[in-house]
Amino acid sequence: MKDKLRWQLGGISFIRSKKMISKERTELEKWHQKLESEQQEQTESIQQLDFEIAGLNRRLSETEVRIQQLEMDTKSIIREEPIPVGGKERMGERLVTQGIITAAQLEDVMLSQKQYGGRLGNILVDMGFVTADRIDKAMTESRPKERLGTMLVRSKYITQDQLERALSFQRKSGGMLGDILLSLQMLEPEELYRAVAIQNQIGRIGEDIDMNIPFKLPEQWAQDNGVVVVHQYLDRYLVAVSNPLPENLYEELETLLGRPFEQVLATKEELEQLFTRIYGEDMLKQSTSRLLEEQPHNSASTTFTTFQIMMFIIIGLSIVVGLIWNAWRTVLFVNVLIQVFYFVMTIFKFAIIYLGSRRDSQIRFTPDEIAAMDERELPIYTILVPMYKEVDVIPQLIRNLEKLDYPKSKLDVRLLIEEDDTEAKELLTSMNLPAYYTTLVVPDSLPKTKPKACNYGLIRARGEYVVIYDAEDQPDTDQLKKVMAAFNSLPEEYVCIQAKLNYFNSSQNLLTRWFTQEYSMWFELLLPGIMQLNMPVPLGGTSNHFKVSVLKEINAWDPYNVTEDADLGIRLYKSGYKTAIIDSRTWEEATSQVGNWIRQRSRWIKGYMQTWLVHMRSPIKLYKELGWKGFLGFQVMILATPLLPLLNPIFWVMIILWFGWKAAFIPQLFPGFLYYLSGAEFYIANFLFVFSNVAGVYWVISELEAKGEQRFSFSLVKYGLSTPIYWVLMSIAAVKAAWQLITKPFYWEKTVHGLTDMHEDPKVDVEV
Amino acid sequence: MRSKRRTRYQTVLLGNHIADVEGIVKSLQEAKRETEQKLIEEREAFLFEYTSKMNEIEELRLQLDKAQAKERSLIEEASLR
Repeated sequence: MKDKLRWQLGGISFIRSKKMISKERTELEKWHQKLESEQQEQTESIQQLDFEIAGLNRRLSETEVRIQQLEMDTKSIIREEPIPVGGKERMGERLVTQGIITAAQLEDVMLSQKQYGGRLGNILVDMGFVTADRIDKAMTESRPKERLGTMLVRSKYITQDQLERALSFQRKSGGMLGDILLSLQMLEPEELYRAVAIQNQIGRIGEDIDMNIPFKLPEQWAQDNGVVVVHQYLDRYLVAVSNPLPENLYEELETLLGRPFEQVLATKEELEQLFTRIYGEDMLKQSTSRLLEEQPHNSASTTFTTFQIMMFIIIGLSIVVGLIWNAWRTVLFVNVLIQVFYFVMTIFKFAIIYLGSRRDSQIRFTPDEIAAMDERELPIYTILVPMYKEVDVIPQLIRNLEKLDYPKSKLDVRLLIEEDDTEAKELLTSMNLPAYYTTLVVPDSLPKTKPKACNYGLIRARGEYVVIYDAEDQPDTDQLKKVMAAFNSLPEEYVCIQAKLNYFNSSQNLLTRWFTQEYSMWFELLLPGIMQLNMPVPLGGTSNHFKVSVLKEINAWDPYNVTEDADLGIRLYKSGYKTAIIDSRTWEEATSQVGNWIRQRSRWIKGYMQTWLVHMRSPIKLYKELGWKGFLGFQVMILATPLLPLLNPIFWVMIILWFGWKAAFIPQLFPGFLYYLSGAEFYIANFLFVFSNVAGVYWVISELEAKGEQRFSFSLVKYGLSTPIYWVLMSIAAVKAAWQLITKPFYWEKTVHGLTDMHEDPKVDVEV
Repeated sequence: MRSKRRTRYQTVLLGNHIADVEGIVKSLQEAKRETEQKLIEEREAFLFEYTSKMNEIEELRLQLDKAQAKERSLIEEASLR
């Protein structure tokens, strides 16, 4: 019905007619919803009954088959030899030996157990083969609960020597014996969990579990306590756990379920799979939209707010009006602003670098201090490794992680691969990795970004601390221990420690040499200086270590921000937390191809633009949250980084026009004091920027030399003189980034890794 | 309060004809009645199916109990021997 202009009897106003219609529509909608929900409930109830009928029919037919067999030959069946089960005495055998059940009955029960899991005794009672009292009576003489190690040796899962070795590890590093045995790969997870199940007199989860899940525990409760409902029997639920539940949770769980429950033990990997199957959608939603829902003002899902668009329009219009009114004065005014901006940024950035060159601006520990750490005190550490189509670097990644000096039983390595990365999936499945590795497949959804994968991996992280590494990263072997020493020595508000990043393939070509110089300046001098000044630290993409509880509290990474690391550094600071820089390095692969480099850099610059726009939605509020120093630092790091490469080409063209053709308009743009200011910037600031790159790399080389490492040679320093050509590449990337910010703000420009031979010895990098 | 009758004969400059609006409202009410009817029918069908399945379960349980009792007696008989 279209709205019509009417002037007649029998008319009704639009508002009134819309009200009447919408009231009826709402009513109808309610009835539809009611119908749908009832249909769903009814279908579920009928399905349950069908399931029950199928089960009863199966049991009836099986019983009839057994009766026929019994009738044919009673003697042979009852006095049959018990089923040999690898020398391990079990309830089933005992009951058969005592003539309480037949071997055929035991076989049926074991089949059912294989399908759904659960305790053998409970299933025997369920199937009506025996009463609970009778089982209790038969088992009263059973063995008392023995220690896991003794039981594993007695059951011939491990040898006495292996037990001794594992116990010596436990004495040195602490942790659970089971985890140590798994980390030493002395037994398979299935064997360990079967033994733990027998020890605690609980069942193991079925092998071919048919997920008939009538009840889903609230996700957060399930995640916090590691419990999943996997099956429903007539009188109880079957819940999968990876550790027997503590008794204080029994009542709570029973209240949540509304009926009794039985625990079945699942390996950590099985539990991961169960969580993915049952809570996969919730987990995905949480990793993509939690920050957006809880703190929309901090999410980059909206690139420009209406207010920001209005402000940009006003500024643009003002310039246009100014140009119409008096073009020269307007251009001059804009130039003054730009020159002042350049000047302030240069001075401030150099001051930061100067402060960063102090030795105490990084947290340092000697090898002796690290060696003296008590490993028993170390907590579980989660390592997240997001990767996409990087199958070639996986073997090297595993080797690098294995080199880490941290008790393996306290590691929780989570390899995050995308759903369509079939090659990585196949390779990781075929590798038979130790039990502390978990391969998590991140379901395909938008935005397909690294922060989303990290959020997904973080949800079920077991560690108290977490670190991100890229697939090609080579962290210093003592990095985790150094970070733990730093967390232990710093005040509580330090929740993030950033390790320094640098490149192992610096001498590959000119581009990697420039990149190494830039990174050396950034991580060795600039970030430590920021830490000294207590300003927000834009974190680097990897090797940032967090306290998991705080990371979860601030909703972790923004999946819509393509430099989620820098954004997270700002959000941590806004929430009152601090970041420190530690004297430990992670060696990465510098991209060696110009196209690849521009793709990577354009993403970084676009991310900085996103971050600036997100936090500058309310500049006054940001100023109050960060204070003047933090606010200025934010502008220097987050605004200047993308803005300067965008402005530079304008002035380079001017320089060419002046020195080449003596263009007459140029002197008019730099009158009086502006000429001296710009001249100082041209000669001094450019020198300072080149010098800071040189100083950064010089700093790394001398530090490494002091430690007896020779990764770089001093010949790398001379390439600093050609840095201005590198700045041209930066400007190209900045223009691309600005264009993408408008056209594809969330698009993740993937950097290709593995272009360098990763197996090369870093020492070959040295040029004499 | 404005009476229904007055509303019907109101003259408006911007609006719809009352007959058009009433037509839509009527069709929506009709759809609601149909949904209500469907709900009742489905409830009845569900109750019927539910009862018959419960009866079937009861019947099967009885048969199973009997079969198991027979099996137990055979086992006991065998163990006595």
